[in-house]
Amino acid sequence: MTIRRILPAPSPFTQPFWDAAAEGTLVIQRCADCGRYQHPPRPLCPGCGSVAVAFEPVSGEGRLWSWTVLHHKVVAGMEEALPYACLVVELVEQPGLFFVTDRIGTDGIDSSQWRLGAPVRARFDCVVDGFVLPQFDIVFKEEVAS
Amino acid sequence: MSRWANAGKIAVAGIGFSDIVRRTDIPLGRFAMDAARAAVADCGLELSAIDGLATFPLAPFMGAANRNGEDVITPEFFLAMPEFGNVRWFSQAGDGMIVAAVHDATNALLAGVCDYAMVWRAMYVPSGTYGVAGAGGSGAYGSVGQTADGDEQFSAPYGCASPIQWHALRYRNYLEKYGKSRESMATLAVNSRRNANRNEHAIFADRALSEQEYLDSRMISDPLCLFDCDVPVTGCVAVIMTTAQRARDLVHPPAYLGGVALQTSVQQPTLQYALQDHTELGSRVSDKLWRMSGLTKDDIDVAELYDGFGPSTLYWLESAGFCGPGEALDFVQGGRVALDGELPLNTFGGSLSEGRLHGMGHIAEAVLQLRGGAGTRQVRDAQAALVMDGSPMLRGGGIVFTAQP
Repeated sequence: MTIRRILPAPSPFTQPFWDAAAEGTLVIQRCADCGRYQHPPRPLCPGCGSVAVAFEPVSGEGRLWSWTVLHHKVVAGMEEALPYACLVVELVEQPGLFFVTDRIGTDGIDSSQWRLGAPVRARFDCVVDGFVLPQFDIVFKEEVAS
Repeated sequence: MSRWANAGKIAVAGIGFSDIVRRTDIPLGRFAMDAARAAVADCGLELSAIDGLATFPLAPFMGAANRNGEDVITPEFFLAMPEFGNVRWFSQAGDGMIVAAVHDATNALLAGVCDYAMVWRAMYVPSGTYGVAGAGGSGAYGSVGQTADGDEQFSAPYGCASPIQWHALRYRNYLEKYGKSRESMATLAVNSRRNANRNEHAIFADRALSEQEYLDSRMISDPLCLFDCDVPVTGCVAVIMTTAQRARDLVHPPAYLGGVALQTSVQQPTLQYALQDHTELGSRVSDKLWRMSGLTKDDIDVAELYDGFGPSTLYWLESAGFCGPGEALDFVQGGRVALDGELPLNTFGGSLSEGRLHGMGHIAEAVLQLRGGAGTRQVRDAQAALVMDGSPMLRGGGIVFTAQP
């Protein structure tokens, strides 16, 4: 399967996120004044207007919030990955703090066991042209037990 | 805020449709001029009477239109035509859907900057896969090896690069959260198609749709199937707006603006905003409209609620208060939203079945219903209509029209 993903084009403002990902750390922008997290990052805190916003490490834990299996070409270069799934996870640090992840199968996608609220955990082994794309795995019960 | 001091002072006096077709080699400018001529004729005016122009000319998807007169129609297109030599004012809205242009024209008419404003929306179907632009730029991923900046650098690398995926992700959460089934949406899709079968402008005027066909249709981005997506079309709809006083001297009964409001809570059309709560954001628009117009949901006889993707109509029903959160799929069952039901909904077929005119079809239909010109789909004694354009979580806005000032 030949897949060409769209690559991030970081700005000086977002570069720290990608630098941290390359080191295996998920960082999310947080306000030092009110404590609110914000992703994607913003120049000022959308909660209190403070400029004291900076990336800081988060736990990498979250809950599955939604998913969709795509059957239609929307990205040139990812045709051979179809059908693939895009998932949204809600990080445990704050309600509504969403992060995107994907699942590309070799034989389609089986989403029958996916449930809203399922625990998810970050991993950092998805490397594309030097960028590490933080991804999330669904943690099923048997894995938790072991 | 009390009732809007200018409620009932501005009206839509005329409507003009071009032909509505799928893909064509005919330049969009010919459709736009047909719509303009039809709109002034509907008023009993000449094109030379038009002294104000406003539109929201956004491409049907990112990167899909950039040749003025061929695939996009900005004010510049009409300004270059000899019939429009009397134009004194124009506006090209960059956000807020076509409601922003109606809002701009309303303000200009109230300020006396122009007397007869033409507002239009022209749409075009480009070559290639719809939604995958051939040109470059952020949000357009039609060629291999592109990059994403801004918010999209955090979603597009994961193959999540199209509004249909944003809407599908929001819809899945909605269905799961409220324990609803996508199969219930068949009722809404079939209701819209039935209405389109009574609308000569509709792209699907002559094609029926059964619930089984809806259920059998292919998935695009699950749980959104083919018939949850509006149908891409080429065409133009224009309306003529003027003061209530001038409108009363023209051919048709005017449809008065009771209120017009933009979604001001969020502006950036990206995944992160599409995931937000629809009732919280959408009610900000509807609350403004109820306050401006002095009406409530119980006064609304006809609802034209945007359906670029079908679930947006559900979100607007809930955020405008017609039913509670999570109840819209139940609300639309049992004939409640049919032409003779409690709340006739998308009476012209919506974007799902008339065609993707990006909200202008909804506005034109509200006006037709209030002036009694909707033919075999006319709702009896329609006195007030609600139009909502766009998704409650993204760009857009709404208008309340009334048959009396």
